[in-house]
Amino acid sequence: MTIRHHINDDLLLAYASGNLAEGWSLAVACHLAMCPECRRKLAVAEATAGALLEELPPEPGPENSWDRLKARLLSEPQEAAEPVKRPAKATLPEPLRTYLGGDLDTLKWRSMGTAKQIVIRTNDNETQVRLLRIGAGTPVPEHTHGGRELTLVLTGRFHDEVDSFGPGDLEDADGSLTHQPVADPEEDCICLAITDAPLKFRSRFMRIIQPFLGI
Amino acid sequence: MQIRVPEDFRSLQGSYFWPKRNFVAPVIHGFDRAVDCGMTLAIYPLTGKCNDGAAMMRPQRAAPRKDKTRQVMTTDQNQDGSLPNDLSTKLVAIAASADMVAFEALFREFSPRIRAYLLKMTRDAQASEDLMQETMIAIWRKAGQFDPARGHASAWIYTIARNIWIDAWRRQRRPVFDPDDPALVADPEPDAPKLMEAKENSAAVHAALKNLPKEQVELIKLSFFDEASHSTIAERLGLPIGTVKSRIRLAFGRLRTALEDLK
Ligand SMILES: [Zn+2]
Repeated sequence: MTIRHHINDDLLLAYASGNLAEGWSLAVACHLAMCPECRRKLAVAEATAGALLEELPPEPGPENSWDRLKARLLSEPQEAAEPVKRPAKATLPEPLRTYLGGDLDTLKWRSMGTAKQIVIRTNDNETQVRLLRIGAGTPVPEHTHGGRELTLVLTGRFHDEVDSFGPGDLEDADGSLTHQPVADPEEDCICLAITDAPLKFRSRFMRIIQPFLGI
Repeated sequence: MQIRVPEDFRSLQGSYFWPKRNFVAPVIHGFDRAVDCGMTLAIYPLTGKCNDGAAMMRPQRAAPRKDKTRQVMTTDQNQDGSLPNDLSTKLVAIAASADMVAFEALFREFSPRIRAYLLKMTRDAQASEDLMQETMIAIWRKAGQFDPARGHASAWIYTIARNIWIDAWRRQRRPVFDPDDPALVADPEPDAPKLMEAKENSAAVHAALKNLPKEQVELIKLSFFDEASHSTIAERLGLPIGTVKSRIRLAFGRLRTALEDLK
């Protein structure tokens, strides 16, 4: 696999520092599973954080801090970590399988035009996370909506006027981009798409007309 | 373990610190049933390793003295800002034999820095103390997972503190890849420079940081030690977001080069 579109440094730094919301982080983590080069970059970022942590001026705490900690170590049972069960083979990388509750062959897709989708729930309220299955040769749905969009190709390819994205490639579009990507004709393209969460309206009327207003 | 929301945090909600929060971020308090620990050493099952001697009686570390320069050094630091004692050795000892002496030494040396980090992230003294304690517990329990070949000890400790902060403070999960996942794409160059494997590589990180332009280091510090997005940081510094991004790119380019030169 030759990945040409990687995690850019500021996105990687936001992920490494914990300041990136869960939805965006899911796309970053899946790219990391597919890309040894970016894993090495992450190691450099975390080594930097560790070095900066060593350089931080110490913050004195309560007198009894160690005693409290030791008391806890002695009183709380040490639960044995559950051994992680892994399949012998997998198509989709972790952590995506955990979020989906299974691998590619177990998924229940919902149709939306020429594409199919699965909505993935996270605990952040700023992103919308979906797994998309775009029919071979058909356009990627709702691709230009104005906000930020991260798209990670898992299987297949899509292309637009200027570029092509294959397995592992991460497209980071900031909304200024207006293009119409299309899945390559050979096979369906499955990708993870993260977008800014859509506006939520309190009024039922607004929620009903929202799709027609395109907001 | 009980979960409660500290009074002072409730008053923070909706304030300028947390304008976007509409949820309650509880802080874990694990000490509501703390026992009197005067006798604990006598009943600790691994007393062979336990020594309640000089180490326990050592007074609290003196407050850091402030230099005129931006660098605040403490007496236990090397010239390059690193800590002199080998954290890796301590972690390995903790994992191998539940070495409480090594763990206490690690606590004395490193917990004030973990607390400092968490204070920067939460701006709440109680939360930073509680989350520091959670971090130390996790270090004790997970020491066996620390692999000196996969990274440097302070980086490993940083990731544990960060994950506890994300979990407890931001109330989000942290998606991570699984290094043993069958779907993981393995490194085609297994002999590629194993970063931070040797102790001198830690010194290399400090040295590389020293050689970076000041504004790049400040930006990286802000990124790691503040709960703010890069666009917020750009706004605060009065810089265009593009400048912030290009400084980050320059800084990491140089850090990577410095570390890969060690091959
Ligand atoms: Zn990459």
